Amino acid sequence: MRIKYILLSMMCLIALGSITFAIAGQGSFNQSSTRGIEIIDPSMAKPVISKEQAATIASKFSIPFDERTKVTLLKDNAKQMLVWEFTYLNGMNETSMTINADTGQVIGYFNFSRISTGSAISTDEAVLKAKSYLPQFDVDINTIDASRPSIKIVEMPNGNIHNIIWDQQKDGVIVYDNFVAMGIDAHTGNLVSIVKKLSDVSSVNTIPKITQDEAVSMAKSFLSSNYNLPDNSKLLRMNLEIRRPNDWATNRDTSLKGNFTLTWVVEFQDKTRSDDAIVRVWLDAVTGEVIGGETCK
Amino acid sequence: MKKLKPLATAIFVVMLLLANMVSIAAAAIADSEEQYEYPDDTDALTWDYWMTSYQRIYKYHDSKSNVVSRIPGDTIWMMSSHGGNCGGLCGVYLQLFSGDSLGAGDIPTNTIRLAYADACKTGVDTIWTDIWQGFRNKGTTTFIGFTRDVYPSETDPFTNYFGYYLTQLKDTVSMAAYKAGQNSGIKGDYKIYGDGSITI
Repeated sequence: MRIKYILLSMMCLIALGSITFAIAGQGSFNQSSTRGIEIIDPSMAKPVISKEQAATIASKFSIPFDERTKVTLLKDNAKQMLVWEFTYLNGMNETSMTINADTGQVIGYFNFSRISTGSAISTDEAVLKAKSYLPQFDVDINTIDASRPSIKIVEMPNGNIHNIIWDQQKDGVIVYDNFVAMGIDAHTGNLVSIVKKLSDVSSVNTIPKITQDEAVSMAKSFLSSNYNLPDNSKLLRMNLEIRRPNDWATNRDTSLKGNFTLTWVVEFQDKTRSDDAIVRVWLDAVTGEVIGGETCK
Repeated sequence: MKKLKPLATAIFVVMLLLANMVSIAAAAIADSEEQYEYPDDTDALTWDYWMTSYQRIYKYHDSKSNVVSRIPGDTIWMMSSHGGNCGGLCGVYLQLFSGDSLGAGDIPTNTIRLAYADACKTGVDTIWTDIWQGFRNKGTTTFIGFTRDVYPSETDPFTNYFGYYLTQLKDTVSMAAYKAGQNSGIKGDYKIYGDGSITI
């Protein structure tokens, strides 16, 4: 009889111990968010576009499908996307391409052998050159609602690159983290890189119901009760953007998730950390609900 | 006595149940506190994920004296934290969770190959002596930082891609940073001091 009770107690202990670890493990550091990019086994993931189909697409950009090319299936957890990555090493030169493994779209291309030193072409020339490369990546910048391009020089050991970025927008409202970014060799105008990230935001309303003043008041009220923001914290700026929310307001998780939403991004001086720190609150510009936020690093 | 045995066992089991419930609650509280600390070590963990064969420490939550004392033994150095420059009145520094600042003058002689300061303005070159100079002047081969205020929604993907390209594709620091920048909101808003052509 005693053995029965002891066994029963031990089983209870083991079962409850397991539950404890399971619950504790779920809440600890969000490991999935720390693995923004993971190498995936294609036989497990079974992407819509096979490796061979992706290789056919890559070959159109002179990337061979042989032992010189490393082929990897990656999962980009931030973008919730499977991509094929082809990295072709030709001597010291690397050409790489990423292809959406669900759609077959080329979403990234890098060719560093095309950088050279010499006198720089003008930024206007660089933009024209960039536009000329877009059709081969199925982008028509004239039909996409995009901002005027921002241009800056990026220094590389073997030369400089004109980095040209078109931000996606709708009715003049920027779609956060959606863009076409191109790298043009500052000497020759050769294409060094292109990354495109464009999303369907056709269903997003671009007319806010919450005014700027209301948004500032709501954001300040939220921060004073949930972030101990002092009353004398300065409003730094605010923008209307189309963004995906995050859970910062409830648990400080900054991973983007959910649907694109018309958002007031309200930015305050963050005196809780230092005079030059910044805290942002994101408010749904239609309902006024706090849908996220973040603090500068 | 016979009647007491089952009662004692039942009490024992109930106590075990209570002990487990307390530990579950404690774990939940500990986690919620962890998540509210700012900034968390997510980027450092991300970095760790790709850097498992390299030296790595979550420096942001460590004490300043520990961080400084370990620098001479570090080969790859990374810290995810707040960075600032007193509104232009001082050189760029890093701020630890404790509130302590790590400035250029705190950096001891070292043999670090790559230092990555994942914080606001760490790549800015001011008229003062900045954190990048602290590292470079004391022996660090290559330093990388950001040239403006940055946010986790940009730096998380940057760190992911940067670590991946460095370790998996063996890209140079310049190539890895450029590719990581293009794939994240950072774009070209970083600066490399020293030799960008090294691989790790």
